[in-house]
Amino acid sequence: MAHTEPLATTGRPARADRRAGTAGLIVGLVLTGIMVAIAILAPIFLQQQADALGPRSQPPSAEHWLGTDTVGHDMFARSLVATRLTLVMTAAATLIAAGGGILLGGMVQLLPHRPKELSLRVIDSVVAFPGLLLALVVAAILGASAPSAVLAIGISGIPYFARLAANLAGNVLHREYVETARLLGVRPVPLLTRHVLPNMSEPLLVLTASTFAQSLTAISALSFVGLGVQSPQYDYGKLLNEALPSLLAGRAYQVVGPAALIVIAGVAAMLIGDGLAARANPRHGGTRNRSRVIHPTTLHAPDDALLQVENLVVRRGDGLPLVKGISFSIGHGEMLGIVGESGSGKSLTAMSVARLLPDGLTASAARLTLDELDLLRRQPPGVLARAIALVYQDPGTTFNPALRMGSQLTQVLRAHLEFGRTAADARVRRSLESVHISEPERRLRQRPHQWSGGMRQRAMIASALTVDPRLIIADEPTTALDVTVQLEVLRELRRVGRESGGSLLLISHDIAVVQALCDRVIVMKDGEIVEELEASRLDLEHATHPYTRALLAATPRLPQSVASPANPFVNEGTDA
Amino acid sequence: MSAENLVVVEDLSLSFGRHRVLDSVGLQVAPRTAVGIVGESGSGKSTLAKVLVGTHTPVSGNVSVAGIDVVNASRADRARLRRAVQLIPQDPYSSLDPRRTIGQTLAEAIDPRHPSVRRSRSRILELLDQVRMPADALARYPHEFSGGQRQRIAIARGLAVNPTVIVADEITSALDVSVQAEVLDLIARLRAELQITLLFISHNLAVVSAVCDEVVVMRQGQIVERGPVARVFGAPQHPYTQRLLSSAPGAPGFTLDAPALDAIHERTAS
Repeated sequence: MAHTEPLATTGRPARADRRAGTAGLIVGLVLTGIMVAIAILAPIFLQQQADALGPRSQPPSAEHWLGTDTVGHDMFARSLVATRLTLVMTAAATLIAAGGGILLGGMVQLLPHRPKELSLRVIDSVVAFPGLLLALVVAAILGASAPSAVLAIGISGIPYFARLAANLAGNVLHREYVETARLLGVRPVPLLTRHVLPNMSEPLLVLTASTFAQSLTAISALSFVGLGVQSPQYDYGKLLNEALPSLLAGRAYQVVGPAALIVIAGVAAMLIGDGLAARANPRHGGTRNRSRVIHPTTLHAPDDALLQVENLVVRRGDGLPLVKGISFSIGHGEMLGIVGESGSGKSLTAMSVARLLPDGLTASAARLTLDELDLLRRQPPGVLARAIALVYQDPGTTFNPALRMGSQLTQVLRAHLEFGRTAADARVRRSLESVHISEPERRLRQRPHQWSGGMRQRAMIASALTVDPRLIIADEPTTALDVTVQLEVLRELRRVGRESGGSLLLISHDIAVVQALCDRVIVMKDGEIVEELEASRLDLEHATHPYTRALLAATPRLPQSVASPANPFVNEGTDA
Repeated sequence: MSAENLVVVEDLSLSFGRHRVLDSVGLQVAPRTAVGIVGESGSGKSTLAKVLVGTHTPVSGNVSVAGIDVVNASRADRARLRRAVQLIPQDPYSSLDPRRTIGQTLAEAIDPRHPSVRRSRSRILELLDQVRMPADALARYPHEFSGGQRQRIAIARGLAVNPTVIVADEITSALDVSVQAEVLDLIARLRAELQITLLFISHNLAVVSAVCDEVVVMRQGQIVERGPVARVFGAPQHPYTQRLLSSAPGAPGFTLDAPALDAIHERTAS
């Protein structure tokens, strides 16, 4: 290793998030503490001051910090005293909404399929109904009073909790750990309290906090329009209601007290909700510190190689290198395999070449060329689409389930190579035939779910071939497939490689697959190339690096006495 | 009902809607043997596992595990079944509750009604030791462990009730090969130490040949071949077994050049 280069460290997103969450939680707790203290203490110490009558409609002064109202009450004392009633009503409404909603949502999940679906749709449509309007209806029916306002706001919040709780419970109930606990004989109630509720808590906490803030404004609004708290009681909304004539008369200071307290209480609730949600998850926490040193390598590749990669480094957003300065090349018509375990950087290497790194990762290299094409520069998309074709791991998720296969398979041709519709269709039909998909006409009119996994993967190879790419990058192309289907796909890749003369970069965790298909193999570990070998020499006899040898030793092999290699179908016909 | 076999399955059929998932399956497993169940997706091997642990009820047939009639199980039978047979699920990431410490998870397996980490502490430490996990894992959460470690924890949970039969459903297919080797070693050691009867479900023939004494080959809900591993893999009788074996890269007889696809389909049809 020539030299090592320490890397600059930048901020760590995970930690920063957590710190922000904690800071928010502390601010929220402090604000809430103050509000609760006001709610407890103000009626004890300020009640008389709040009820005393003085000069009317005074502007703020040393004696009356927020002025007086039209009757002559001190607005500062009155605002503070109103806090208790407001918070108690808001908390009660939130409790009704959360308790009722979680209970209802949980129970819906326990219903049989059809009633459950029906109930969920009903809840959905109630959610669409404006909450405040519902509250107005309920308050109008129950009559204008503080309890009916609480009940109205609480009930109007139930559908939101019910919908969230039903969705969350539906998700958590099907997790394997819940199933396992049930198999162990855990009773339904402990099952809910131990496994289901804790894993639903984050979104529910956030919703509780925002519901508290919304209930606060909604109850205040009801009192403001006269449907909530009635004289002589008063909450923030009632105070605003009483301040309305003053506001219209240009004495705006009278609303400052209740309005500011509503905002502070709402913000405190939101901050606590977010902070608790961040805290509740044990996964939030220290990030692992890995080696930050990279060892650049240089390339000794033949100048006529198709792909030349020199000192490729892929970094995470915080500067941590995931691929640590690797160099390799692929010759014209060569099939190169990269093997390694999860986290080895093999897929990132492939995605760097295709210029498709996920967000937050950056690649740099001394050289990254495909023939004369400089992949480090920005290339017009059509050029890249023609030069490099990709085959992904999961044929189930690569295609859009809503679109017909025909329009998806011809997309590259029409978008980048300016093929007309008919010409593109003809080209794709031919390439489907070349990967042994029968009746391509009919098949192209079908949607992805009507194709088997093996067919979709062969179709992906076929579509990769329609543009005559110079390099095919196949990232775990057979990992999701059954072994007999894998054989078909590997055969297809081998055949097209032979016939089209294109090169292949195959990424796989499976040594046997790479060995079967490739000419040359690179073994990666922790973002570095540990060994490079001819595929035929990838065995315990020739591999020298301890990691390669460990990988080979760990790979289970079938007993070597299977059938006759010359004809594996020698026993055919003799059914068991 | 045979006295000597721990698992007896006779003429078992099961359908989801109109789709027949298991079709007249028969299986006998002698105590302390490891039986591999191999097959491709849709072969019914995972469904068979679920029938054995009592989560799917068959349409017809007899199933008994450790002398307990699984099909017509009473409440008491189900409770006994839960202690006799344990399923180790495939995905170590979704099989452990992220909100509960390893200690809490194991305590629940030891005493599902009244779990207590404090009371079960010695047994939890014993279980962790059996799967070669450090004692301090007790107070940690699943996300702090790698996939292989989590799978070992899931195995420890399976061992908590001292089961006589363990059903392992693709327990290494989500793991890297070096981690897989670790888990396979562990399984082999536990079999020897605890005299466990193992049903090992996998699509990976090589893994099955490394772990099992006997193998059952399934295809489309039916058992097409069964026998000792050496016999089935060494001299497969059924064309489908032969095709499976020669499809695995690295297996003798494997080739990317030879017979065209259509030829294979024709030959293995029938």
